[in-house]
Amino acid sequence: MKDYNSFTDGELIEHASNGDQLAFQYLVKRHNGWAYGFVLKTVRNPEAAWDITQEGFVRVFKNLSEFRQESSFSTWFHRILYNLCIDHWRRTGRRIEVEYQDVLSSGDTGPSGGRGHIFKTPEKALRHTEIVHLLEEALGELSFEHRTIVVLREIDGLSYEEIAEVTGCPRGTVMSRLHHARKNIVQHLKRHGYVSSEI
Amino acid sequence: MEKNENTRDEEILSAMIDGELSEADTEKIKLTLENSDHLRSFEKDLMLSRSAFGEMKRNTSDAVDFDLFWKDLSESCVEITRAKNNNELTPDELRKLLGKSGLSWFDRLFAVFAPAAAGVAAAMASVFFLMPARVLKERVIIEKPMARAGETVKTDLKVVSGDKKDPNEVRPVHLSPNPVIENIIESGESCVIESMQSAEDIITAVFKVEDSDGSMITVIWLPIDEPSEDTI
Repeated sequence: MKDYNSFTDGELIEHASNGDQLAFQYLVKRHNGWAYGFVLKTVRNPEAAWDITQEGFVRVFKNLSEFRQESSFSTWFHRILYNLCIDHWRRTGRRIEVEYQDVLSSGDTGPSGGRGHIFKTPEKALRHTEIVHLLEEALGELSFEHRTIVVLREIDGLSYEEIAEVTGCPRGTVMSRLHHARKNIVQHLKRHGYVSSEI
Repeated sequence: MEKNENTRDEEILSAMIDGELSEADTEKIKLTLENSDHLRSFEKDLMLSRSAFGEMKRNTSDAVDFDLFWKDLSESCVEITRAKNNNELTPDELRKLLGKSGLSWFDRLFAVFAPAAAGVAAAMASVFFLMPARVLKERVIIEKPMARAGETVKTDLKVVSGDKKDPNEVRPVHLSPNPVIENIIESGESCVIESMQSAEDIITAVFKVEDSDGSMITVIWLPIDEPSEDTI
């Protein structure tokens, strides 16, 4: 019996491209969490994020044989999702911001449902919620390009080279946008009274 | 436009915190950092940003219900696989496809006319007797109207025009993404049910619809036990 959990992404893709659907299912299971998180933070609409992530995996499934092992699956998939997010962003524009703020206020995290983090004290839980909310607001104030890059770096942990590959921007542009994005985020946090010692 | 020196140093410091600088550049910026209040203040800002993102990463509210996610996704994958495999459908896949492609009225017709059509279904009996018990797959076949009852064509989906003189002349079509069967049936104003039968949840039916050129064509929808060799 195959131990799919021990397979690398490349091995799962190789098996999946040979018709092994279980291998593809394991690939999806391994990557759907961060993929949905990335898309959600980028397009800021839970329903759209769900659909885009689904579409991203559909594209992966359609193009399994085109995956080249020299690139990591994560980078390849990020690029697919990034392009889908751009398409969505061009179609919908900024109006989705308002919807996402409504969702944040209502506490509804979308079709996946939500699971909170466990904190030792209510104060910590409240502060965590406030910071995350402020950060969401700050991300919402950024342009699509700046927001995407900062999410790729800070949440998904991609290197500058990988971000450049995903977004198609030169490394210098990545560095510059990241700096701009962080500066604006910090300004937003400070405007609401947060300093580093509080976090 | 030239960036001012502060901005440039900030960018480099930002890259250093991300671990993206070479050792030499790291040493340089560290020296600058020691002598710049502005840069030290900016370093604290970067830490503030990083800490905030750390909190966000701990937030698990973005977690996806995998079962729900996979259920949606696998439906799309089934359709892609079917298209790749030249329309080899399992009964479930076929029913799903027909439901999605606007042919759900077929099921409704089935429910209404099945009892009345039971007698006509005898015409199909020979087909069933030739089928082994382990019938697993369904094919959609469209034949000429003069085709004899029970006579089947073991190929993938094919269309024979009702007006064509050569009965062997066939035109291959694909069920996805725009199923010809759907187009033909939807373009027809009426549909004549000749027979319908359900065995072990597999629907078999014979009905006639009007083609775009006015001729009536007979649609035979039945199970076939093994893939044909003349795949389209």
